Amino acid sequence: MMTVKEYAMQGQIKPGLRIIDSHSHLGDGEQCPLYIKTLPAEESIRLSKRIGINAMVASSLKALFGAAPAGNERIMEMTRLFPGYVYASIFYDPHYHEECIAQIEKYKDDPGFVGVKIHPRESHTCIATADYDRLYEYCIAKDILVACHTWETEPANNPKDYDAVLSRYPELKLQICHMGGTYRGCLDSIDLANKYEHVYLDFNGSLYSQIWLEELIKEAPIEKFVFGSDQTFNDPRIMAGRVLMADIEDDIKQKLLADNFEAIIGRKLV
Amino acid sequence: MVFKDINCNFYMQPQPLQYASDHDSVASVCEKNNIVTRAIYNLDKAGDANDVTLRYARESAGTEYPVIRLMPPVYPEETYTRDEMIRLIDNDKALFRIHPKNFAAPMYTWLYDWMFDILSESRTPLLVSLQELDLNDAAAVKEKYPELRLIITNTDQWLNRQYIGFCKHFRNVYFDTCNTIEYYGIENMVGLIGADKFLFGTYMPEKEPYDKTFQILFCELSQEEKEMIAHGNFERLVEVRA
Repeated sequence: MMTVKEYAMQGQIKPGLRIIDSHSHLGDGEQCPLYIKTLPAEESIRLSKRIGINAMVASSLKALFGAAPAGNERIMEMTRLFPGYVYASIFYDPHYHEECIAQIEKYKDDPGFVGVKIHPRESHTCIATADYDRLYEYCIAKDILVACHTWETEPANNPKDYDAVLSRYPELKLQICHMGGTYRGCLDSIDLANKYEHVYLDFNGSLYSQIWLEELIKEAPIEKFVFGSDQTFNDPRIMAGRVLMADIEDDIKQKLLADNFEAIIGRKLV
Repeated sequence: MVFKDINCNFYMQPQPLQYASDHDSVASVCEKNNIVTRAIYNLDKAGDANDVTLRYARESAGTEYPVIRLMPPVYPEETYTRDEMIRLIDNDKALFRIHPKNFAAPMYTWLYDWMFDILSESRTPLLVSLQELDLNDAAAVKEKYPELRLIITNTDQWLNRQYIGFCKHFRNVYFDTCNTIEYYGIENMVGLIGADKFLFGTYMPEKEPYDKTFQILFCELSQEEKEMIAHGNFERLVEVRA
């Protein structure tokens, strides 16, 4: 039987392989410091499907860039436009606490809702402060996954700063997006995953860390790792290729690509 | 599809958390991923790093081209004479890489002096990482040496407006694909400046090769454009030097 890698080397995706992109963004042409090609949502989804992605958990670019309530409504609209493919990660900005919590409360039982996304750098709110505590308490009480952008060199969201947060909230279900991005950030993220039961590693940013995936997944229990592409900032083919072409057994790839994330959120998405 | 890697590096000793990092393990990964030819560069800072690179390339039966760390002609013991440089180009089909930041040797015309003449006249590619390059310095060099074949590696998505603009302004400027990670980037940039401007590059062992091969295999370019990026441009610029 051909492996996932052998299929990919022929330009094909192995039939039956399940891929959930647990970290993505969708928008409507928002601009940012780097140039990002914007495709209509239908085209982004077509591209994702072409490389085998069966579902994407997305937050709104509009929300990320400062308009959280409006952006959250837009991403929920997209879950209805693409049911069973686009799932929402509602963006929480501490500056819009009441509005964002009201939206999470409103949509938490919606089949399109999966979790909450925070981005301390873009929200100008450092994770080392207590400004996210109200969110954490809410999400622990409701058993909701929080996905946080992290980057070791960005003062607002160095993953190392989560140690103090998690010592206060060890029950917080936390997806560390990008694993801190750098070599040091990855090692600090791994320490957190090994120390706290409900911390999970979105290995997207480890792309920049000089750590190969084959070695990275030896550093924490395999169930701790989840796949995210960071599209539509990054191209989803980058992270997909990184997993599909790696020298890793197919059953491990399947855990990384979908099984682990579904186990974390406690439901099947595809 | 076969690949030819313009940015394939190695260390003398295995590195922590890198699945492949010394010459032989990197070569083995290349073999498993259809990377049949590569321009190899020694990341070690030892004084004999270039000699080691040349030795591996000479033993490779034509699958490896040496990338020589080029220091400006200031201190004789760390650089090359005109004759030595020409011999490396003629006999070993060497390429050269400069390090404006990491070895404190900025890309100034007056610093590299006659070296840019030799590179231009011989159509020998000069590699430099965008992470180290001041594009204003590079622009001054390109004004004086328009025929210099500059391959800018390790691009940076946060600088994509600048380096694509640079390529539109100056001819004989090329990029490797190791950091082309932005959304729909390969299709978008090829649409702007052409597939002849991109060379497949992995930046092993500091990065894995997997995303780069997958990107070419699954990109939405014509088969001809894919082949140019995967290996055709390498053949033209490095092997044939047409």
